[in-house]
Amino acid sequence: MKFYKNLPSLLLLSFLISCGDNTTTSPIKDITSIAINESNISVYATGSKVLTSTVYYNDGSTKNGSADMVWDNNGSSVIGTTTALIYPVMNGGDANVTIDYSSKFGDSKLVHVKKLISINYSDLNISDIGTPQVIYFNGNFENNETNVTMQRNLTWSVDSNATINEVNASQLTLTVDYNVTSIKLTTTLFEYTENSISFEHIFY
Amino acid sequence: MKTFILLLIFMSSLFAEAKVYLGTYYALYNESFNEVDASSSSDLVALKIGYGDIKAYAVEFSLEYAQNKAKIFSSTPASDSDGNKFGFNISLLKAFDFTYVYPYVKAGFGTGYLNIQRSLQDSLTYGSFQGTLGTYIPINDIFDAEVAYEIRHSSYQSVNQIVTKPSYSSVSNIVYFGLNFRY
Repeated sequence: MKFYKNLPSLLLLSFLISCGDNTTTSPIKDITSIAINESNISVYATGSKVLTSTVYYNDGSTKNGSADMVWDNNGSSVIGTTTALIYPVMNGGDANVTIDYSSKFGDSKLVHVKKLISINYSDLNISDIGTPQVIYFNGNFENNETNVTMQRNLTWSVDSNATINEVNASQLTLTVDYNVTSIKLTTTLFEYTENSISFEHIFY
Repeated sequence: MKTFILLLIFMSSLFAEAKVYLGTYYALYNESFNEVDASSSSDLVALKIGYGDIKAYAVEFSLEYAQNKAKIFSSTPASDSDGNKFGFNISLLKAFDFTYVYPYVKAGFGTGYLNIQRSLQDSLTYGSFQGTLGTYIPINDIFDAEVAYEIRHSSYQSVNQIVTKPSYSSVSNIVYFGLNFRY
């Protein structure tokens, strides 16, 4: 019978529970869009570029989502992508870089690859046999952009009369091995690909 | 040895007057979230099947259905509230013989999912554990009514916000009224 004495208390508890608040506006933010931040994107054929992306939320806030997106070259033969890094695979051209998240959010931007026209070299003393010599180089690109440092996509070779000791983005160290009248230096862009292009230079 | 004897006592107690029983209950609940200022008050219905003695031990399995009135996870403007919630619970119960009523304590755990409308998710799973105080009120040899208060802790699946994936948990106060059929 004690239960029946406590029935009013139980009913009151039920009433209090049923009269609780109902949240009508979600306090948990949701995604509204994602976007690639950069515009007018261009990259040298001998370079690369790191892009960034932003996630936009319905409360007005944003977060850097570069590492969370799937970056893609949209089937292009002009550029490649590794996460947020884009790198050319062809000497010149345009392509779209895209980001995607679960096929529900995405963005796309046009990327222009600046074409390498020629390479400038400093002098080499070919009569100086056996001494490592530093040769400075830089690139001439489309639209008359000159003296551009070249960081990637290049391989270097020299004929059998000399040896390349070391190469970095703006200089190579070369040793002349024999007494000859000329030495041919070959620079290959995108070697071992179908887009491979060679630039030759002869030192006298 | 002591554990074995206790187990035997428990088993004999469980099987002495044990019966299969079917039940249903209607509940009112108030759910408060720990990480955000949000709450949900609504009602739920459940079907359950159990095996045990009304005056001693029992094990229960229940299926729950709730229709949300609150909008906590859903973000689309078109939805006024989160969607339906479905749950499955397993509980162990110890009842006491008070002659006219059989009060009990019950503990268990459960799992389920909640339908929502977000840009990347249309449902969230959850896990819960709960403790209950209640009583059976015999009506006749085969029917008994049931009144109980339950407190339940629920942990929800992470919410995908791409860069972050926060998780949310809640505490619910639940009062329910049920009817059981034993045979």
